[in-house]
Amino acid sequence: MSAWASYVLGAAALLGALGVVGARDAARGAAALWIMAASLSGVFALSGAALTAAVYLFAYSGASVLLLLAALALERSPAGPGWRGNPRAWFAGAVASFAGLGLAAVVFRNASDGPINSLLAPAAGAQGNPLFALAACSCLAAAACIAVVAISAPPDSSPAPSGSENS
Amino acid sequence: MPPDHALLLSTVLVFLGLLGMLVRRSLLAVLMSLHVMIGGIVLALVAYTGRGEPGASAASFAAIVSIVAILELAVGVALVVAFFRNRGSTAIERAGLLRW
Repeated sequence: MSAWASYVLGAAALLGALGVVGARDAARGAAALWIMAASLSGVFALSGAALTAAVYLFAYSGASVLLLLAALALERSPAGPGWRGNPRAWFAGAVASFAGLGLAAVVFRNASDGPINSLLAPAAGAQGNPLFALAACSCLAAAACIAVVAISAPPDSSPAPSGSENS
Repeated sequence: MPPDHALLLSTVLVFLGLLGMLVRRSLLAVLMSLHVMIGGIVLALVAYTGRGEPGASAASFAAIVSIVAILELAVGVALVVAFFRNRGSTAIERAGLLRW
């Protein structure tokens, strides 16, 4: 059963990679990268690499949100002359981000013997658990890098000059 | 999935990412194609753990590689944003400052 599941997840990862390479714009590419990362994380979990699966899923969930926001800020809309980042698109991007991150959290919370519980259980008793410290430091470093990107984002979404390239 | 099949899938992912890096014109798309390649490499590390090769901590190494890849992605997106502010586009043709 798990062998078939890993084959299906591997095929989904392959489709996600094809989506990244062939996507028309970066927003669709970010969504395809999200699918590829989630599928590969499932393959890792079925292969017995639970820690790698947890780190990979959470890290790429955040990275896909970052890429999605970058696509909203930097790409022009395929439907018109303006930027993709209009208020409706920002709202849709925020909903998609919260849905993806929330889904990842719910999946790991409901897995009673899942990687997150095995990761956090020793940390409750031992303050100096190096694994827990590594996870916390990586989360803090990723949050700091995302803050740097957010600060350096373009300030407005004015209409694009005519004749320039899309994406 | 047997480790040999996982290695085959990782090879396909690496070559797909390489194709995307060579073909795509947007810097963000090139960055995402690079991460397809990194995904293939991490899958190869996990597959080597399944084969029982020497260095059984390859899965831990794969987790560290994933973390470093994400930090690199954050820096890469910051560079793309800075490039966009200077050049007004993310087209890779405009990134010719170091061209011979």
